[in-house]
Amino acid sequence: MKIRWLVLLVVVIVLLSYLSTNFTTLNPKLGLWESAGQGNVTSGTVNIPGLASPVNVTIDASGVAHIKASNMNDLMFAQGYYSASQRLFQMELEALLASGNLSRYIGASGVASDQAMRLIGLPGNAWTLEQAYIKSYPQYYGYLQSYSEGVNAYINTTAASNHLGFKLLGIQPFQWTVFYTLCWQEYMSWSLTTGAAEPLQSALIYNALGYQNATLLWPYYPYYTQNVTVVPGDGTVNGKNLSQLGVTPKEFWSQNWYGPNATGVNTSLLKTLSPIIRGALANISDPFGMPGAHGLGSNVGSNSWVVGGNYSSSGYPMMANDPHLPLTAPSIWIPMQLEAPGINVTGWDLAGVPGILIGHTPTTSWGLTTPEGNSANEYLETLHNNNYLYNGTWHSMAVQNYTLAGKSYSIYYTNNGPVIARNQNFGISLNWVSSQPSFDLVAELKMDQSTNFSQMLSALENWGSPPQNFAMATLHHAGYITAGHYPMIREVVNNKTIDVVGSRSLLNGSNPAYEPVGNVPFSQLPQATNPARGYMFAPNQPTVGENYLHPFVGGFWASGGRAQTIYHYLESHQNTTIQDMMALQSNVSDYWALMFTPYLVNALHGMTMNQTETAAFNQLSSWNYTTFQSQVGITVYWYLTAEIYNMTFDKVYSSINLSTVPAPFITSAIHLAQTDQNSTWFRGNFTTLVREAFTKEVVFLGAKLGNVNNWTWGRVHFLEIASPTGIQALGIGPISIWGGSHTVSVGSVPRALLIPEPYVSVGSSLRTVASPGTGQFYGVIPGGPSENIMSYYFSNQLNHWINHEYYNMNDQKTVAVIRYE
Amino acid sequence: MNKGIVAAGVAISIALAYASLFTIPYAFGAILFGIPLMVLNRKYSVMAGLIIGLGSASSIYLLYPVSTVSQLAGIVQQIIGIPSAALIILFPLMFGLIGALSALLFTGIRENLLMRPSPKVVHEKE
Repeated sequence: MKIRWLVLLVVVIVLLSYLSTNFTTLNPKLGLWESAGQGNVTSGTVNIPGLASPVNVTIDASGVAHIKASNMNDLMFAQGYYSASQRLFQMELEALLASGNLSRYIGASGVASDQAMRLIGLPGNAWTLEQAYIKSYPQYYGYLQSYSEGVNAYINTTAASNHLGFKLLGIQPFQWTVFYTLCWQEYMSWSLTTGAAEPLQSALIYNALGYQNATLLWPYYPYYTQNVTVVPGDGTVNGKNLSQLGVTPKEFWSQNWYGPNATGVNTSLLKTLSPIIRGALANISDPFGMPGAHGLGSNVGSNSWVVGGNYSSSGYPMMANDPHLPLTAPSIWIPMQLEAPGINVTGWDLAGVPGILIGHTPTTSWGLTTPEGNSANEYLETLHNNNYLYNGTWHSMAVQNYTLAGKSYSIYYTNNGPVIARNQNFGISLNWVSSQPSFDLVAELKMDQSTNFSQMLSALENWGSPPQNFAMATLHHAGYITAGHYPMIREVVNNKTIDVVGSRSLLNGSNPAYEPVGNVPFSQLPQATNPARGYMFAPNQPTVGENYLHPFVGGFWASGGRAQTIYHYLESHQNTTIQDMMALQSNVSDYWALMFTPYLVNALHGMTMNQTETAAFNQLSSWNYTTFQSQVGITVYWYLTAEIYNMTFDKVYSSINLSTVPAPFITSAIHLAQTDQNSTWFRGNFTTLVREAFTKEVVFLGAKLGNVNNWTWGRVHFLEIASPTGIQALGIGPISIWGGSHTVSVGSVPRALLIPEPYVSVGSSLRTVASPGTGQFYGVIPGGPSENIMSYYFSNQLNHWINHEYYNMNDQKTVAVIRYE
Repeated sequence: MNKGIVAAGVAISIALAYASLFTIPYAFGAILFGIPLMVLNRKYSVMAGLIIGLGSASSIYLLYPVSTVSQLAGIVQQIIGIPSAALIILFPLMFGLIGALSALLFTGIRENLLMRPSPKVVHEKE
């Protein structure tokens, strides 16, 4: 062969080799195809350096791992190893997101998110918390370290880099540390914190519409709250209430809590601050964050209820919980059992965090929902250059500098917290309780080790941020406590000082009178045990009545539709059974529709209708208020209310530049339909409005969906369980789904005039029903333990979840036994 | 060429092909298994290189369930827009092609450098 041909061959080989570097992910052995081979779980032994004693991991038919170790540190180590084996890519992606380092993976498109995370203070808070653990809880810090070592033991195996996400991005996993676990804890805390956005949003409404309209749209206590607070009764907790301070609830709640007396901020000044308030809202928004996690009437809610032994058919307490969170593929939860001397707990663990957050022991059970009272407040700061005014004196702001993607950024701090927005001489600072160490993991692990009710209560004294409604049922007790840190602001009413929770608007940051005076003492937190009426429930409605000792001025409660359904169901189901608990969890009736539809139907009576309108009207008037996929009535109702909203409330919000603020509507509309059908909010005539909206709706739906009989909810209402990567192919759905925004089994969608509606993305992230007294424990998640989309265990529980079925957590066959040694 | 040497060259080549697939993520690992094929002539070294490269890389798929490979290819197709069949065959094809060219190159080198033909001897009739 001639030399020139040889040279040519060399050139071609070099070129092909260079080209081939783009296809490494397609290598059949070392590329992404390895994921295709990781779907099965097989028995065997895994050698893991770092364990003191062997650990057995039994995988049952529902995919739940039962991890049994001979000591606590090995248990945490094994949990870390197992969690990483199932969810390493998810854990690392979430850790980067929470620590403000996402741009390391995805480049410039992650910078805005990283800025928000650092501005809010997640990585800084995590670092402070880690130091506090080392100092105050070395034993628990040791558990955190063991967990991290377990994660890293897995990362050091070749299997770690085979996770599909790493392959697709062409990157290697980084070593895990305690810091990342705490960052994710901070992220979850932030996602469920009330008070970060709400006072800003209500201040915008107040500025634009005035006090009367602000309280009409967003009353301090939602309409129809009677009988449905978490703690039954008028608000008295452990014998203490507001009246004992010499102020009646009526006097207290008739105050203008937006005004200068309450906030120290002049009303005319506040009106000029709307642009900076909008800026603050934008700056703390995370483009990759949980949808709807913050804001008035946010659609991240949850359900829980307990039934006492005096109300159940078995004579033992029961508990049900389904936290509504963004539904992701994989789920944020990993189901598992952890067992070692002194601990035997089964439930759901947040990927990346040790322990079990929601679950049960053989004698105790608990679940979590979010109370909507402020654990963050915003302050108006008076600034000059790099100084802030406090108590009549100028002080230098602290500054923190950092670099992202080659650019430098700075965060300035006043005594109240980071300045999240600034416009010349005014700024807004964020005061969030999570800037103080919150030893939630101590509480969590003590709950995991609990054997009775008093141990659970004692454990929760360590819970800080975010405040949560803990539903608890043990062998003989049932109850609730809203545990966590609620900063109190000292207000004066009728010359009496009252320590309230939160505010409706910006507080004056220059005036020491509006500084927090401490947190609500544990014994005074909303709580009740073994209620006489036999049940309690906590689906994000007001936690406690108007006579509460520390009134929730900053209480931005859910509308209460789910609370109404649960209340009426439990009230009519004495001798409640486990099956009743499950049936309630799968309830898809819309209580607000039940209240509103008769007014709509009444307005349409007597209207001259064409054939299509008549058919649609018949569907609406005969509707039973359920939201199954086969129902037509819900479609007619939903788009009718969407048209009404579009023609009235939304027009007002748009005209005053409030379209980006989640707007209150349904309960205000029902209230006005009951009390003032000539309201300007209904353009002066409810009947005319409804008829016009109905005509428009029928034309719209007819054009999009054809014959009225085809207007089924399942054609417009879909669920999408998205991948955190945002890659649609790695998610699940869209799937036609039941439910609505106010149903217990939720399927939240905005009131949009779109076919289909925007996909449901938030829902029951897990469902559990527990009765420790009878040893009955059931649960299900919309997915599975694995993040490998090729694995059976990626979505093995999904169909059960969709069909409102459960796994008996006590009775599953073993499919594999893995020994870590 | 001696049949035993040819067989040994092919066997070593196959072993090297699998070794590179299990250790080198890049398709240019195929250059390695082309080297022993220099014992073949040009035509057969190219054919052997292509077959060994394509065959060894494709055979790795047998480690996984066919249905999951196909499903995964479908998912990746949605992400990067390359047809799923092409996604499956792309790496083996590249691996085989580089292997074939490598084998040809080393055969050429052998022919030119190691085994230059000896001067022609003409035997005349006595």
